[in-house]
Amino acid sequence: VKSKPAIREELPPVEEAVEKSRFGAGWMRFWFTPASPTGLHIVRVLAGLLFLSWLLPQAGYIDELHGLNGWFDRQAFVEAARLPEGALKPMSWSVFYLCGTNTTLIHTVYWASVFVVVLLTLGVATRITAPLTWVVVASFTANPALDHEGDPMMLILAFYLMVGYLLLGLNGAGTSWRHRIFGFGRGPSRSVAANVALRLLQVHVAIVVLTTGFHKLQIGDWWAGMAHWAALYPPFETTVAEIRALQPHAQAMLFFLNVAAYSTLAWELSFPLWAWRPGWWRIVLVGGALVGWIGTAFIYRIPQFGPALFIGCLAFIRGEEWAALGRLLKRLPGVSELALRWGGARQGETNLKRGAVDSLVTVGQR
Amino acid sequence: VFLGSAAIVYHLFTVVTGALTAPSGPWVSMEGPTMRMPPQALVSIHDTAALPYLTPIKMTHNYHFASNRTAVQEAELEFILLDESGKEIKTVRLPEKNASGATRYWQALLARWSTDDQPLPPPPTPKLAAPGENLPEVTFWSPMPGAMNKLEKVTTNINDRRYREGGGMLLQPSALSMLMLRSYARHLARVHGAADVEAVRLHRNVVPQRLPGGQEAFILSEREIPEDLFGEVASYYRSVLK
Repeated sequence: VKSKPAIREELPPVEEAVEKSRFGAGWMRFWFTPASPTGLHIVRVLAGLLFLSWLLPQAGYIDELHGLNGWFDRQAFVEAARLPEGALKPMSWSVFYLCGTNTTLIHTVYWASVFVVVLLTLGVATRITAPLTWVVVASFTANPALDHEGDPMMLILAFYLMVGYLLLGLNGAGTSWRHRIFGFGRGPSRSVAANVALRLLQVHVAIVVLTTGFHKLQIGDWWAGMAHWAALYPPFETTVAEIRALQPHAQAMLFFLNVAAYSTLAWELSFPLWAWRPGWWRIVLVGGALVGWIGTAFIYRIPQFGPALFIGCLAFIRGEEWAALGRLLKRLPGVSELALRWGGARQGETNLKRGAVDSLVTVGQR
Repeated sequence: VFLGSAAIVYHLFTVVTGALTAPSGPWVSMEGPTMRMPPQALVSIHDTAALPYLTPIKMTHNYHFASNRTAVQEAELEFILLDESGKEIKTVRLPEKNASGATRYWQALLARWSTDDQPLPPPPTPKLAAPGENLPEVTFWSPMPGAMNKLEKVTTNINDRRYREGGGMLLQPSALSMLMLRSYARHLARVHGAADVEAVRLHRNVVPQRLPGGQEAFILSEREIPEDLFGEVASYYRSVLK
């Protein structure tokens, strides 16, 4: 009887050790496995295009939107800081605060910002242009008067692109000094930095989607399945005649509204369960994000949120899956010839091997 | 790896606390629909450990998006620019009818702030002002005499009959919405050389899913849909700058 505890003490805690090593190995595999940076490059190009589509229409209204004599002026910033409930968002910093009311400086900052984002999109000097792009996005989203739901999503994309491109190829063997300092030229083919940046983006997107799903559960219209009704029929554009014309289709409309609302809830609340799963789940991931893009852009009229969420969802797709998609696309009629022609042209210039096809996505670091 | 793991854990911890420290609701309570504050312990942790990091990197959003609340109001604003003598110089509409799509979008974002009305607390028992002092003042939207769909912003003392008769049903423009309105009015005054700006808010209620006092659970199932479904209301701010 006495020997039993002694034997038990002598035994190594096998299960505990296994659990610990499993967790540790899982953690290492998830965060620190070198991965193909293709996903990061694709996110970079698409996010760059999104940032440009958001920046360029502001060209004629820069003073009004961002100057301290504009729609939200210096006095408003001072008054907002004194509000008892606090300002809408922390007004910590913006490059435009340094410009004050100097119109020339404001316009110079604007066009320099556009130039920086173009360079990042093209993959030029990404170690410099990625952090600068984050500064641009943070500065252009600083005005509380123009606060909209795309702002936090664009900030998320810009922040993790900055993290990714600051670290990508920093310690990789065989990378050139031009790449290490500026991000020019060829980067590593597999990188821990790319994996960390994409994983952080993935987890952050999952937190956003799950949080917004739980927030919806606090609102009765989502439980009733009627949430999209108000957005479909905005008060300033809907007439009583239009509402009357819908009356014969009341049941169909009710069914459509219910399906749309519950599908939205189901997609958001179950997102972390399948977002990392390959295979057919990718259709749920990308298809859902695409439907969300169309819905938020055309029904809710929030133009930047949908594409930003879509790009965030594309960050879940692994390098191997992008490669498989590339092979699939090459089978399409015309695409392979185009690729060969493009590859051939590049071969003439840089003496690359035949068939090595560069694209906008892989220019820069590969 | 250890440093990287620590940085990842800390970063994601701050993001998660940011998402959790949002007011919830409205929940049903004895005082009517009320918002509830997040757990105080979590707020303290967030304020001390997360906010100093999240603020400079501009990740303080809690991902409780306004569009999740389905009854987001819409409004249009009309600014009447006046010269020194009070004569009208120009009228500016927000959003402008003929502006580009992008401009209309930003103008609509700005105009939407004006719908941020807040409920006014119920009036206290009538008070007498202390000698040499004035009674406290309140600002609220008051129906204009003889017009059901017109409101005017009035600032008056707490003994005012309109405040007392309105009970707890009155609304007032929020401090933030007035701040936005004044800022835009100052901008217009600078651009057009106006001495004062008067503002009017044109506001429509969202199309209701169910008719108030209706027979059916869904508006489309009703036999009759009234002409005045939207109930457009004009709210007069009067002078914004003075």
